[in-house]
Amino acid sequence: MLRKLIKYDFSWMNRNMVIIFTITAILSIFTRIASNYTGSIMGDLIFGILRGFTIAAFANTVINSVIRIWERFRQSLYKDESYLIHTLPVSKKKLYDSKTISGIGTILLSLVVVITCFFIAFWDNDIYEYFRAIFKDGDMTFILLGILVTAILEAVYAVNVGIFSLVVGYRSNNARIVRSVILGIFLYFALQILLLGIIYAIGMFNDSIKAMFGDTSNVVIEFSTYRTLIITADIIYLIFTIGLYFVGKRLFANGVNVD
Amino acid sequence: MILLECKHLTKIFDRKTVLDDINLKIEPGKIYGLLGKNGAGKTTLIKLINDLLTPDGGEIKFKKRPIGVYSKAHISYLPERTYLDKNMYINQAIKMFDEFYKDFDSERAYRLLEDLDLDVDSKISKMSKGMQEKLQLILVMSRDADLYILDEPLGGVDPATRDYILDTILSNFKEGSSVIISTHLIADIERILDEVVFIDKGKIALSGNADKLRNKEKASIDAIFRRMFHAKKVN
Repeated sequence: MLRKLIKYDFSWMNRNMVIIFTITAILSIFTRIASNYTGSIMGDLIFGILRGFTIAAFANTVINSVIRIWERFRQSLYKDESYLIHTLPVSKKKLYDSKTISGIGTILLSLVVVITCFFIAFWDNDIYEYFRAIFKDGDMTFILLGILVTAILEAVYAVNVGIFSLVVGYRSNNARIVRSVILGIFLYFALQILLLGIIYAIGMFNDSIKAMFGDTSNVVIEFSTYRTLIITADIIYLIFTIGLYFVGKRLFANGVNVD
Repeated sequence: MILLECKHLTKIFDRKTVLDDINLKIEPGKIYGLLGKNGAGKTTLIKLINDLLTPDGGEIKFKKRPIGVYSKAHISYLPERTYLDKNMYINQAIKMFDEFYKDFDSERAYRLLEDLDLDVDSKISKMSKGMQEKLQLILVMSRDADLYILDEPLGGVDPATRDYILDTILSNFKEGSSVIISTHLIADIERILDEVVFIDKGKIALSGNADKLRNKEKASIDAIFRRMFHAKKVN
């Protein structure tokens, strides 16, 4: 049953995303073509505009997919469609899992599209040499992949915050969406502040990290500092994402009040 | 044997009690009319039975089990609103029902659609609201469920469509199963009811066998309803 639910949820979430993916890909191809005609005022101008649009399209792809995931959760579990979904012979926990797994799949798909389109638009010899240098250096490889993992965890956390906030907001009988939005914003920024606080606390025992909170102009940040920062951020994101997932799922399984 | 039982069921919205200590038993093989004015609590009761709302008190049991996956596999529910994904095509909706409900009879669904001259390749969003409601009725009545719960199936439709809906219900529900029909249009369904449950202000005001009630009160169920709620007949 879970697989069937995921099939429907994933296709709903990505139905409109296909249009956004296509626009992003087309913009990337045009940017790529325009990059061959730089050197003149008009060529530079067109390339600059297309580059701006393409980068905006990357952000739009990720933001839109997050919004689609939240909207799918709200529409199918609290609005008209919920009258069908909640009466399917499936447990509420499976409904929740389906939305979460489909959501993570959607986010990963949009990140793959963004990374692929980035290479389509901007791949050149300089970038190739840059990446070659990075991958030759184990420490730099760790930092690059670490940042990528952090970005994925950040996006997954954002998805979970939205879902959790909808579950809590829709437990009330009025101003449900307002409550959900306020709680979502609070939880999202609360974690960022907490993360900063934890890193500051680690800095009490690590001079290199402590130095980052002061004047960093004359400080050479060691690799171990980056490693500590990335690992700390990843662990905190993981703990909070998993925590929110289990609490949200439990609240949801306790019962809903649809519109 | 009791198919469905509600014990001391209570639902409160914003400190207002919309269902107050409801006790109800549904037996197999009968057609129940859940009757009451708009806002009496009929839909709230139905939503509670279908796990769309969480009770604030009391319990609901279907074949002695709490409401959950088992009850949903055996209750076929038609809500008062259109609930299908509008971007789906009719055949996709049939496929979805077929995938999730073991008791869904897709051949019956296709036959009923044929009677309506509905093209299975039509997109739901392109259909009128009336046709969407008929499609939902077909999907719900194509299940071999133990209990069919139909919330206001006759609301806002013309007399010809009312006949179509009632015929579809009567000729398709599984033998031995029960049907709960919620409505305030009593005259239209009176003839098919075995049992009636009058709900008023969140409480069961009257319930019992339809024939016995008619004989006792020497009046139709519709007349009893009007007398009870002092409603004026509008022609």
